[in-house]
Amino acid sequence: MPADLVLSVEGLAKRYSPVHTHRYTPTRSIFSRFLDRDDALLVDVSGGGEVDDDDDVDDDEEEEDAPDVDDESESAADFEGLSFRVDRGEAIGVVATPPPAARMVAYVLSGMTAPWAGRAVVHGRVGPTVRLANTFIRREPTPQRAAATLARLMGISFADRSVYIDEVLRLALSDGEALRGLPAGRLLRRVAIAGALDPFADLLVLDELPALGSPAFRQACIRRLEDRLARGAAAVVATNDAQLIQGLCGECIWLDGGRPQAVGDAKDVLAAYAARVGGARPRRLPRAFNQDAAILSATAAARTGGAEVQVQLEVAPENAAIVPRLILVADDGDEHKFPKPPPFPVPPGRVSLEATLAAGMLPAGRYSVRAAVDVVVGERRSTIYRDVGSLDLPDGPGASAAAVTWSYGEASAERAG
Amino acid sequence: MEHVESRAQHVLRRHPVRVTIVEPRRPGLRATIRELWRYRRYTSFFGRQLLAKRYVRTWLGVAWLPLRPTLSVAAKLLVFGGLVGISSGKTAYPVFFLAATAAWQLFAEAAFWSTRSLDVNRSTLRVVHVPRLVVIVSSIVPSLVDFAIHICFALAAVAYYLLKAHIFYLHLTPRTPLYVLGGLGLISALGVGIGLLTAGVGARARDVRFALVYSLGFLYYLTPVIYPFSAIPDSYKPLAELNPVTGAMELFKVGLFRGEFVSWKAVLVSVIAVFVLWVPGLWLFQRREVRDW
Repeated sequence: MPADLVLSVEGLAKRYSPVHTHRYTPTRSIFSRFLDRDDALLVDVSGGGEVDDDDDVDDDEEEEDAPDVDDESESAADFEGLSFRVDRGEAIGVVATPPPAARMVAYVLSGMTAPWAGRAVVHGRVGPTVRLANTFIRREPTPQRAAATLARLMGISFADRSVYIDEVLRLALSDGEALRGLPAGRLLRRVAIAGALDPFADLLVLDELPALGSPAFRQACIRRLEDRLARGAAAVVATNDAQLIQGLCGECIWLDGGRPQAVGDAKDVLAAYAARVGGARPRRLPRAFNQDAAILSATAAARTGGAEVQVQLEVAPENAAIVPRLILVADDGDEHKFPKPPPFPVPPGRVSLEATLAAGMLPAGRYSVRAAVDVVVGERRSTIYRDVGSLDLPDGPGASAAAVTWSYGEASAERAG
Repeated sequence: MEHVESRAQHVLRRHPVRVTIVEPRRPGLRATIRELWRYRRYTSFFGRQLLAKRYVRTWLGVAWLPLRPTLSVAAKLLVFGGLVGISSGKTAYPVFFLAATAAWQLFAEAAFWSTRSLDVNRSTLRVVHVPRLVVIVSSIVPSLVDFAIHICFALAAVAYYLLKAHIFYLHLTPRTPLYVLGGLGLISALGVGIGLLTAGVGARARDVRFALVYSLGFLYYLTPVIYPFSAIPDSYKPLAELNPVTGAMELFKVGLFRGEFVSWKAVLVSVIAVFVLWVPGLWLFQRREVRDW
């Protein structure tokens, strides 16, 4: 083993287990209700739904089950054939289309969920992901207790716990001004983030760095990460923040549809990744994709008598229908939504949508525009979003209910909304 | 600040580099046991979650931990020791009753919380990969806390009689630790063993929990907790020995009290019951987990 090697991954794969794939026998048929429900609990759904906080409900209250996996993550988080290595002092970025696969790589490496195939060998301790840390400490009454719980769970010896706790709290409670009035949950989340930057870990696995709280805290976290790298730790950064990856990581992996599409120099991989996702701000992409469709690009431009928004969409399944929408937010924060058009069926492949906004439908001024598309496939319905940018709406004769008109593809089948 | 950083670096230098391997879960009983050992540090976390369930959203908070057994024991002692006047042979009834109740609580609480363990920790288990067996075994934490509280009551009763009547009711011999630990071990194993079979289904169907509570209430009167084994009529003793908890309970009591005798047949039944619960329970449990993960 080379002395500098921290992480070596070979053929790692993770695939969601469908809950109801048992071979049905007469016994199972009779007891299927019991058995299947039982299995549904035991199945590993890491990376699926968010942590639900309902397990403290009173014994007599009915507990509502959170969905095990949301429609975005169920198959979108699968990945396979992942192989790479990270040496001391290095950080490797992981980006994915769709994004849940990148997070799943982090979850597998941090031990939140077991892989289905392959193997990762870490020479040293592995730090928790933010989500892992947050899961365990979210009910703690104080940051101090939360840090102590993390220390116990991370297997920090009794003698070293005070150092660990000091280090975690020093980062979590930095930026004291911003802490005033911070809700307890967000304070604990800071502790979880500081825990993910584990002072004793040889491998840091970061899943939520772009989502950090205040800019000052974010900077403090990045400084801590850089410091840990300088002191010999290695890191795997699973994010779609290309800027962050370029700043921290020498190498990057891009998983496309769960398979490694490009591995190598971060700049080259991110360029290829950006080209695939449309080149616009990758940080916004987590909500622009799901397993059914992706918004590839969206642009807005003022025209005589109004404005136009163009949306390029890629749809995967047969028999899909889409419902496009626009959300306009004025400078003063007022949000304007418009009536939804009826769903119109689209074939698999690329679809071009164009929305026309009549002048005068809203007060003249600058608006930031967001495109949303509901994708309907049979019983399944999901929504993807993308920021379009800002748009100057001119003054006009007046608003009307059918002020936004959508046209689709070459046929320009007009639908009023 | 620099001081803290240097301390962290010092700690890092002090520890040898260990190797962590991330790989698919392996099937088999050995792998399950190995996982249980590997994730052992999680037992205190899940145990604490179960313990907190007893006083969460109360005004008195942690005070409910000793308060609940105090109220329960006081009422039972008044009824069984005072009103009914059950005899406990050479041992003062409060001492006998409190010690036996401590052992019973260990069993009943272990059975109850192991059945509920997956349910209570459901939201954590949905997110984090922790072998479910660890969660079930962690039910021993609230059971031990309850046992400790009851044992404190029993010791207080022993001290009371020692100071007031100058009688020391405990019969401590070199075999005492063997009997007491053996009895408690069997009792815990029986309790957790029940959870192995019921936790999975119990997490989804409350019927299991309700049925368990009533079954335990029934078993409480069939087990020599409020009365000594010697008080059972001879014609019923063979039946009483078939109760899996009787042997374990008697083993615990014989280690503490003078005049008690152990029925080895009953102890054998307890040992067999442990195997009957754990072997299929573990097999079923690990099979279900590995298949689905």
